[in-house]
Amino acid sequence: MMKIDRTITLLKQGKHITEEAVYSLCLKAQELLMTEANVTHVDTPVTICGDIHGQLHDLLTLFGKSGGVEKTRYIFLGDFVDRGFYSLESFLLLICYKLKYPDRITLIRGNHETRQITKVYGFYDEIMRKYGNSNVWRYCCEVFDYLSLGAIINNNIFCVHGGLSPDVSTIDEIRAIDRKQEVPHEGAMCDLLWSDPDDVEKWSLSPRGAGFVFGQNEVNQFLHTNNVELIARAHQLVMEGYKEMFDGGLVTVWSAPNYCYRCGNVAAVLRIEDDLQRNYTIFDAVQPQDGVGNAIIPTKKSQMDYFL
Amino acid sequence: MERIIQQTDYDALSSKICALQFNYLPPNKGTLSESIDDTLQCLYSDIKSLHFEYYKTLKEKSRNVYGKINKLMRNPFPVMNYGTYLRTLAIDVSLIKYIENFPKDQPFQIVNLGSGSDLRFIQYLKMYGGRIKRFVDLDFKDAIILKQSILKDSTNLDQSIRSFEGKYVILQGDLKDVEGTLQQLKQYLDPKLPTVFITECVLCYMTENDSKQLISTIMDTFATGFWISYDPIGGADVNDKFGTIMKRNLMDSRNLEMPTLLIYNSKLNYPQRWENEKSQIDIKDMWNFLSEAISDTEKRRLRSLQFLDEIEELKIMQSHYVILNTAWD
Repeated sequence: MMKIDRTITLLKQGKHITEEAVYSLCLKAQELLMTEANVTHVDTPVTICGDIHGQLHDLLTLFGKSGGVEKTRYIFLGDFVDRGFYSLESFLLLICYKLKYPDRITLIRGNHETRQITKVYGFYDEIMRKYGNSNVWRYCCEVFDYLSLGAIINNNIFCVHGGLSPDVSTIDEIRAIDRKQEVPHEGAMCDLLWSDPDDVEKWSLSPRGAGFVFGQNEVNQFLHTNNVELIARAHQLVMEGYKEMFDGGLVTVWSAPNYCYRCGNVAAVLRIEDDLQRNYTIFDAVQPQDGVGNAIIPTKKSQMDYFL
Repeated sequence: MERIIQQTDYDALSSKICALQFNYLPPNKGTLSESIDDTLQCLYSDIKSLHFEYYKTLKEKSRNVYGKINKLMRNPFPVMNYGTYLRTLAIDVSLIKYIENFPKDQPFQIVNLGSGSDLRFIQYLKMYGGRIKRFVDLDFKDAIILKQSILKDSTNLDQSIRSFEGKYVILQGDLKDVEGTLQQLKQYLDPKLPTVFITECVLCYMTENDSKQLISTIMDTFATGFWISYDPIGGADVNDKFGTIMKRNLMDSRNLEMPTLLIYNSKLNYPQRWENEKSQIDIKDMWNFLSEAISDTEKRRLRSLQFLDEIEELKIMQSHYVILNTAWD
């Protein structure tokens, strides 16, 4: 435990963690996650958090503004890594909390928690930059394979990263998936992590190239069949931090403020009270500070993603 | 400042090479529903070999610049490849549409202001060679020296240029010096002929006054013309922080200034500099262009190239870049 506390302190400061320490953390995390169900049961009150994307400084703000893991129960809806410059630190911090407070934090897999996507979107490169080899990336990817696919709060709110799947009508069907694998390119597991809600009449192809787009009909059907009142998901940038749709039957929660350091959005977390009341907390991105030595955008990064 | 602005050319070139390597460019047949689709195909027929040849020769000419570009090219995000695709296509579609409006025997001229390493002159002279009277590239001295030496050193590129029989002119200049720029242009161009001016991510680096001056002087001098301009816009909505953050990011990361990003910040404000009684203006943002101009089959092709992880981000970015077309006579 002492060791985990030390690691947490280092991580919060964005300091280097040795390869051996990462290995041992990842191994412990795997052992713990292995015992969890595909859809974890969680009690209220609980705070639901959306995409983090390696924005460590903003993750720390999130904990600060929402009570902190010492006092609050959390569900993270996935996409811990990629895009931001501190994917490793963000993911490891969550893993450390999970090991230290297993009942207080639930981690759900996002579409970025895969080998293929992290190779394109930055996590792999970040590890190569920080360690000179890909071992740490491999250790983390093995943890990804054990993350849950969803959670259910008080048998009333279903949590998932992306959305629904035409192959899934009951939550029990999700429980039957063999989740311990790289996310496939199609099928139920893929859709849960990739799909999006929109104003469509029926299941439609997703412009993302994976998953589906679903509408109010599909949501109402799912809510009714499974006797739940809300689907809480993340996966889509919302400029206002959250967005309720379909008469409140679905909500998107987004927790990466000023996404990619350039989108200018605010972030939100959603607290579900014992009476299932929904309370949103909105927060802004950490402002870069001059001369503090913990630059949010590392100076080594020569590329800013603009068209010049 | 000049050097910092000039380095943005490396960003443009690296983005283009990436979009070619990842097969975003060239666009497939059937990208546009309009009749110019065939012309577009023809224009892009050897765009890959052209750019790879330039890039290869650049490696031999300047290790330093090659290294910088190579570094920028590491692992481009799909949103960047999409944006480069849209930017390239939007400019060419504007240009072809304007040209195709002329009778076949009408000669015209094209001027690429702040051209950097752009190779459109080869594509256009190959396709419209008989009708183009002059194609002028103009940029800062150092950019031009490097480009000239690359063009000369590559047997293939040099041969192409020779076949253009002096129609291609490459000039050193500073657009801030409007008088000097105009003097140079007048030496090679006929102000009575229809002339296309291209400014692709160029005006955004100029002050309000300099860019206004440049535009009005050119519009006064050339009797019939067409201006194609691509730039970022900061956003006019009070809640829109894109421009403020962009300005700060570019200043912090590379000391790059965009003096008018928050002035000409919307589709409504951006065209102000071209507005007069003779001009007709058309402006779209790149998200409009993607949604409206590109066919569904082509969108499906783009989707299959890399997993696009976030549509909303693409929308936010692309709605902050515009293409303006202005015709005057």
